Amino acid sequence: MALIDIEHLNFAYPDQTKPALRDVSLQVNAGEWVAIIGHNGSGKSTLAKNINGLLAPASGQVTVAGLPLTEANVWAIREKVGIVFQNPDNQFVGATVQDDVAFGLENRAVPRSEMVTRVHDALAQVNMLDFATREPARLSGGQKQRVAIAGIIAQRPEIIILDEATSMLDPAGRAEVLALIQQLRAQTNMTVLSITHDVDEAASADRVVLLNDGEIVESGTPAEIFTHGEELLALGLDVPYPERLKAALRRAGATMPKDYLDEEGLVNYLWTLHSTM
Amino acid sequence: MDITFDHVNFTYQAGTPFAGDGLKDVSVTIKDGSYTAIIGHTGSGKSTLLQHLNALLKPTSGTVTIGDFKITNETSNKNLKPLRQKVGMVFQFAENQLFEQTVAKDIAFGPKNFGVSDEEALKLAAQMVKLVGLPDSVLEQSPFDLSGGQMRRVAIAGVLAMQPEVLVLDEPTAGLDPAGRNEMMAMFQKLHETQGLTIVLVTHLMDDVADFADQVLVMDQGQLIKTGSPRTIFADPAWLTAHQLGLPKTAQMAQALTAKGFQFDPQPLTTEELAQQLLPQIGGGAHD
Repeated sequence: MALIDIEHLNFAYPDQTKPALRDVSLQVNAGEWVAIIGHNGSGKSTLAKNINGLLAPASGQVTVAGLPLTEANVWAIREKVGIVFQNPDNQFVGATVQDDVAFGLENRAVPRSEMVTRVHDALAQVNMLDFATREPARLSGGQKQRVAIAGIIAQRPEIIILDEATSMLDPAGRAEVLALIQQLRAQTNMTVLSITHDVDEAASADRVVLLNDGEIVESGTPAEIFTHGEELLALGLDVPYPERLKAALRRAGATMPKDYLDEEGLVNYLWTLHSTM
Repeated sequence: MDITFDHVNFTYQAGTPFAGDGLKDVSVTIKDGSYTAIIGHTGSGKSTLLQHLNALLKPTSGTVTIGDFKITNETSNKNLKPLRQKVGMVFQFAENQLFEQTVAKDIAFGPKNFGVSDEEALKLAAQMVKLVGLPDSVLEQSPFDLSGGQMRRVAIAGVLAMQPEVLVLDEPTAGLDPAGRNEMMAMFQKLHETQGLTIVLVTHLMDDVADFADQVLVMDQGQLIKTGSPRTIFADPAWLTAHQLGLPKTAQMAQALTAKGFQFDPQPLTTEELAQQLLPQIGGGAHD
């Protein structure tokens, strides 16, 4: 059975006539990295909040690690699902980096000796050990999100949800966080659900799910999704640069292959054309 | 209204043990009607430079000339109000500064502070809402009921309502989705073209620099280390990498293609330029 199993989920916010999620069914397997893309207001974050019971569905069923999401199970599920939010400044409570990472553990009454080890290990994993006694406010954006991720992994969840966790960061910070996620996945086989409009982040995932107006319109590997370049642009989304260049070449009169090519792939393809001229 | 920096130095907390260099010997002119991009990694002095553009900070030594205003260390804060009206600042995450009960009142707040009558200020608010591409219906709504992108537009409308000649933008599209980003950048371009606004843009997005700016200032450790057109700045990828700066995606791709054996002259900056230069080199493309 899938680690996250969402069946026919419907959700509407109070006072809104249009539902935010319509008949969403999605299965995420253990160890998988799934990126959910869609423009602002497409229902991405609403979906994430339905997975750990921050919001309750109007109908449908969410099952996490075999536990159906109910009032009785919600706390057990939240122990399995950690969320990193968009704005790093909104999620700090501790006066120092290590206090902040310990906060979640304190709430769960983890014994002190174990807490010390877990905080240390988590900070080591995100490569922020040197900053353990620093003030979170004085860190760069990328460092702040790494600390936020440490706070999550200290609790050893099975699933980590990144809710636009890189969208407020500069390119260096974004690259830093993405590299960290890749490293954590290599080490721990963690399941990652990233909600994003960053194409580079989506391209790193195993599977991309495209959400529009609360409905899943497409699901597939990044290569499969990015072949729909024009449609993605029409939905207000970005496409990887090689797809943009292919579109420009088509507009200039060239015939380009349909299949998705990454940068290296397109460079090689164009070079073949050059050589056979 | 030209803005000229003449040997500007700025020291944070001057005269205390915490003193730190903000700007070191910066001399540059931002011409009336230009579109200037300021780039540099976090902590390079971009924001410090920005805050000198309307005298939120005053140079420790040197002079900043903004139109008729000469700002030195001795300049008093009195009489700076007309300057602040002429140079509109849109800070990062500008939506955080919304506070009023309705969008109309929020936009009218600035002009009212500059002595415009209530009635006139509300009229301005209605015009500005249109200018930033929002429907009239938002005027009587609470700004806090709008989406993030719309809230940011309201905040920008509030700055535009003061009818500035220079619009200073500090990472105006951070946190927006791709469609929101494109719309916002197109809106600034339109203001630049139709209203003749001088634009100063601080950004990490090199694609925006390539697409919109006519002058680029590169900051590093408080110093202005390079000034030039986007084409000159992006012609030297090794130099940019050495200063922890990226390339526009088109320039990156052109670099990868050049390494393979393609030739470009001049270095393309936009996707269309790259496609045009590639076309003859690939025999017009394959037919599959």
